[in-house]
Amino acid sequence: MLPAGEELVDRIGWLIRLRWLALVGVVCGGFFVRYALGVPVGPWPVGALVALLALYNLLLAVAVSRLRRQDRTGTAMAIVLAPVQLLKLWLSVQDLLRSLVTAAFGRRRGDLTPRGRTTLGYLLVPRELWGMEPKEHVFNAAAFAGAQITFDLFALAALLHFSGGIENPFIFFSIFHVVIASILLSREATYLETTLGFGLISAVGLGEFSGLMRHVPLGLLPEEGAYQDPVYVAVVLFVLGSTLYLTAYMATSISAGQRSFEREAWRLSDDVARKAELLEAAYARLRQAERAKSKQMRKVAHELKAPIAAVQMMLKVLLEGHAGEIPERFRDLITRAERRTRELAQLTQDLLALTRAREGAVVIEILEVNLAELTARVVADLRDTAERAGVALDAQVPGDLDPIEGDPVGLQQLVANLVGNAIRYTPRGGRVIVRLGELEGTLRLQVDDTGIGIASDDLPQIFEEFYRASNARDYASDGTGLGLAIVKAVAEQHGGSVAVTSEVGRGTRFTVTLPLRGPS
Amino acid sequence: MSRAKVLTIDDDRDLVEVLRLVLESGGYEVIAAHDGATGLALAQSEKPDVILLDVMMPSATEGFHLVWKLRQIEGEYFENVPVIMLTAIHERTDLRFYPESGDGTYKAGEYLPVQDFLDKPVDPKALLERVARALSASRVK
Repeated sequence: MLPAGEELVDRIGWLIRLRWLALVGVVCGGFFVRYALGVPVGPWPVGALVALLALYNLLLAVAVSRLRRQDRTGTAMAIVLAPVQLLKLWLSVQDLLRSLVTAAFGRRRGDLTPRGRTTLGYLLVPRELWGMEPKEHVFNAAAFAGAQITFDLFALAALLHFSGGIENPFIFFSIFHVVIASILLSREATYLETTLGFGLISAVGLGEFSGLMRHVPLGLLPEEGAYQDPVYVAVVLFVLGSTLYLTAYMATSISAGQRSFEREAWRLSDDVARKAELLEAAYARLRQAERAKSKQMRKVAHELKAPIAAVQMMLKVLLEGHAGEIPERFRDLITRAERRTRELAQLTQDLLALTRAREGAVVIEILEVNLAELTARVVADLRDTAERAGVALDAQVPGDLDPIEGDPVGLQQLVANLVGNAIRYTPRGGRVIVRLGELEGTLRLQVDDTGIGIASDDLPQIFEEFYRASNARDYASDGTGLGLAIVKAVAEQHGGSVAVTSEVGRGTRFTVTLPLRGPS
Repeated sequence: MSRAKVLTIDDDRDLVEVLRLVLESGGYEVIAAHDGATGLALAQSEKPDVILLDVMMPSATEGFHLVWKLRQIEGEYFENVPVIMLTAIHERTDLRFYPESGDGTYKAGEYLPVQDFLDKPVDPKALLERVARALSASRVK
C-alpha cells in the first residue's frame, strides 16, 4: 500500500528537509572546493542553480505547510499548482520512457497507452504518477511527490553537468532519489524514476563525451580529460546503472514487504471498525426491541386498567349496599376481592408509569417543572398518611428553586414513591425528612427515614422491577415492587441518577440528583 | 318535584350499568348512551340536568370532542349544563388538550370546559356527592 493522505504529506515534508540538507551540502562543498582546495568555482552557474533550487524548495515548503493546515483541495491546490505546472512538462519525458518500459516488458496497460488521451495536458501527464485527470481538481499527493523527485533528478543532472559531469563522484547521489522514490511511489514509478536518473546522467556523460555538451571541468582531478575516455565513461555508467537498478530492486522489495504489512494492519483496523459498526447496529436493534417491548407492556397495562377499574367499582357498589343489603359472610369475601383488585389496579398503574419513563420523550411532553412546588405538594398530600402511620414528616424545601425541564407526571411519581416508601417502611414514632436543594448545577432530592432499612445484600437489586427486599415483604405484604424501578427510570430519563445508603434497623437515605438543564 | 335526570355516556356497558345502579339508588333518573353521537343526540333531546361523561377509549378523545361540540351548540342550556368527566386527567395540571381530529375550532392549550372530574374507579359515595354538588351549582333552571 502506498502511503496516502496525511502520511504522504508528512513524507513530502521530509523530502523537502532532505533537499535543504542537500543544498547546504552543495553550498558547503562549493566553498570547500573553492577555498580549501583552491579550485576556482564561481557563483555562476552552480550558485545560481542552487539559489533557484532553494527558491523552489521554499515554495514547496510553503505549499506543504498550507496543506497541513487546510484541506487538500482549494487554496492549497492553487499554491501547489504553479510549480507543478512546470513539472508537468518534464513528466512528459517520463511518459515516453514509460512507453519504452512498457514496450520492453510487454505489459500494455490501458492507462499507459496514449489511446483516448484527447487533450495535450492529458498527453503530458503520466497518469499513474500524476494520478490526476485534467478536469479533476483533487490534490494527488503521490503525483506531487513523483513530480518533485523528477524535478530533483533534473536538478542533480544539471548540478553534475556544471561541476565536472561524469568525473564528479557525486553522480552516485542519485541513489538517494531511487531510495526516496521506492518509499513514496509505486514499484513501476520507482523504476521509471531510476531510468530517468540514469538516463539524465548518461545523457550528461555521453553528451560531454561526444562534444555535444560543453564540459565544465571539476578541477579536482590531477589530469583532465577522463570524460573523453570511452572506457572510463562506459565503466562509470555501467557501475552507476547497475548500482541504481540494484538499489531500486532492493528498495522496492523492502518497501513492498513493508507495504504488505501495512496493508494487513489496515485490513485489521478495517475489520475492527466494521465489527464495531455491527456491534453498534446490534445495540441499536436491541434498544429498539427494548422500546417495542416497553410499548407493548404499556398497551397491555392500559388495556387492563379499564376492566380492573370496572370490577373494582362494581365491588365497591356491592360493599356500599347500592345493590341492596349483602349477607355478612359475603361481605368479607367481597372486601378481600376489592382489596386485591385495588392491588391489581396499583400494579397496572405502576407498570404504566415505568413504561412511560422508559419510553422516554417519545410519548411525553417536556415542560418546565418547579420541583420545589411539586415536592411540597406531594409532601402535603402524604401528610395524612404519615399521621395515620404515626411518622413525623418533615420537609426542607426552598421556595425559590430554578425550574427544570422534564415530565411533571414522572417527577411527581418519583417524589411520591420515595416519600411514600419512607413513610411506609418506618415504624410508628419514626421520622421522615425530605430535603431539596441546588448543588453544583444539579438539583438534589434527599429522603431520609428512620425505618427498617435495607440489607446490604438487597441494596444492589432494589431498583430492579418486581424486586422487594425480604424485610420489606415481611413488613408490608402488599406492594408491587415497581416503585423504585420507576424512581430510577424517571431519574435516568431526566439525565439524573438515584443513590441509596441504608443500615438495617437504623434507616435509609435515597438521594436523587437531577441536572438543572434537563436531558439534552 | 321531579327527579333530576342524569345522562351517562360511556362505551363500557358494564360501567354504565353500575353507574345507573348507584345513581338510581341515589334517587336520580338515569339515561345512558354508549357512544358520543348518541350521547350528544340524547343531550339535545332529553336536556338532562347533569352529564356524566367518560373520555372513551380507544381514541381517548371522543369524550373531549363531545364536550367541545356540546358547548358549541347555541343556547344557554348547552353553555351551562354541568358535565362531570370520568377521568383523573385534571390531576395533571400540565396537561393540555390537543384535538387530534378536531375541526380546528379549539386551539391547543385550551382547557376542557367541564365542571368536575371523577377518577376511575369511581367511588359510589363520591359519585353521589359530586352529582349533588354539580346540580346545586348548576345555572340551568
